[in-house]
Amino acid sequence: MKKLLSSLLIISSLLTTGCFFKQQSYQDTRFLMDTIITISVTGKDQAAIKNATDEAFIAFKEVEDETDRYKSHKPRDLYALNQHNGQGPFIVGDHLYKLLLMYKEQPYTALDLSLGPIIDVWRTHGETKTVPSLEEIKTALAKCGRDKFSLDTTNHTVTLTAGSNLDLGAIAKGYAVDYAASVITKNKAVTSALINAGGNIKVIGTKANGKPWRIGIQDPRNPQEILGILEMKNGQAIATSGDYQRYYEVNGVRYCHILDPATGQPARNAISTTVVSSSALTADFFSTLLFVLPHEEAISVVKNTPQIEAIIVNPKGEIYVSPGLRNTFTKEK
Amino acid sequence: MRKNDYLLFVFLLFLTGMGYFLHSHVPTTDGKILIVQHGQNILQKINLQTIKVPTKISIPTEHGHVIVNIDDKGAYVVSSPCRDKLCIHQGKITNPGQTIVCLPEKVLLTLTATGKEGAPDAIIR
Repeated sequence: MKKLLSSLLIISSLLTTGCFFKQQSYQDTRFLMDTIITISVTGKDQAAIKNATDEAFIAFKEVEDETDRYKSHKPRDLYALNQHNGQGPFIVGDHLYKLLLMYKEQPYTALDLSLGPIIDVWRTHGETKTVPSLEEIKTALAKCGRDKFSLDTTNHTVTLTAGSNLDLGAIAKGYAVDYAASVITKNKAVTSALINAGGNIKVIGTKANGKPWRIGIQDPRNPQEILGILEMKNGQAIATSGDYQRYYEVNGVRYCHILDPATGQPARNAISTTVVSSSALTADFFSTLLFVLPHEEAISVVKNTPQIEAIIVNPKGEIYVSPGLRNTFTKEK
Repeated sequence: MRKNDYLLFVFLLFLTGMGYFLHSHVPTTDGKILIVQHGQNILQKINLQTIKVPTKISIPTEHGHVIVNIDDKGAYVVSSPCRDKLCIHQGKITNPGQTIVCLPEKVLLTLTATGKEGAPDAIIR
């Protein structure tokens, strides 16, 4: 009898006091890197998880300041590097250097970080809803190309040819998401987190109820719908590139922001590409690359790159799901 | 068993039952909540179940007002001072997890749901 009473006392204590040791949640949303970033964190201590979130946003700001092409922030940032074109080697900041090094180690020409001149042409025409002439495109494209910049790994410098201009829009956010995730993970009070930077998401841990995160992938042609839901494991990242977020139309033709380096025109081989990887930078890089590549070539890259899985929607609306996602991706009916 | 033991036993059983009940029967609503945000400030959280007649809200921004139409199913942007009007092109959001973003005006509309199984935790755009 005494044992039974003792047991009941313990059980009732645990069940009622469990309410006072619930996981704490915190969420914050800020505008950074030209997008909305929402960080949701769960952990043991409210003050500690708020602190982890604030530090993650500081990490985003750090990367933004170093990779912003349009505004000067620091002496060794991208803006300063671009201004130094044609003037020899230039010492750059650590984040910028790591990004350019990662890019140079990739063999693909369909993703080009030197498209600044042609991006500027489309940006200018976008303001007046006009289309640049072939001559304008050709002139701008002549200043672009992988050979327009080089890295000196000994002196940590970058050299740009005259007239060239780098734009890191294709990979900077993914890099920032990884960096922010590493900052959050260092805080031992955090048990799980979801970093949502618009087209780039990374998850840490599982949800508070122990289940995997569920990420919906937007239908590229119907903003009210999703293509399906992907279950995400601890540490996974996902990035989507599409023609439906940043574009303008002229005479019913859509001109999106992702350019094909070979032609200087908006890429049209896909309408949405989603990549899953353990690195947000890798996911970001390949989501842009696969968007530009012809459909069959994109599928081939996915098959030959073990660290990524992908969902590709071609202009006809046909959806390719790579084998590694077929058990975790549930199509919407 | 003495009478006091018996009473203590019943009381502890009741406490245990209450504890279990509190953990597994937290009241939830199945409704959708529209979160209206400008910059970092959450301006309003609107339970769409309370919207009986479609209504418009006006969000003051640096360049004018972003006008949003809300009904019991969702929301969409009617007008905005931004240049590209992409927020209008995004159409109506009706599912939890969906968002409408107007970056130039720093307006974010997010549809969430509480207690609803099956809704995604986020939608990647």
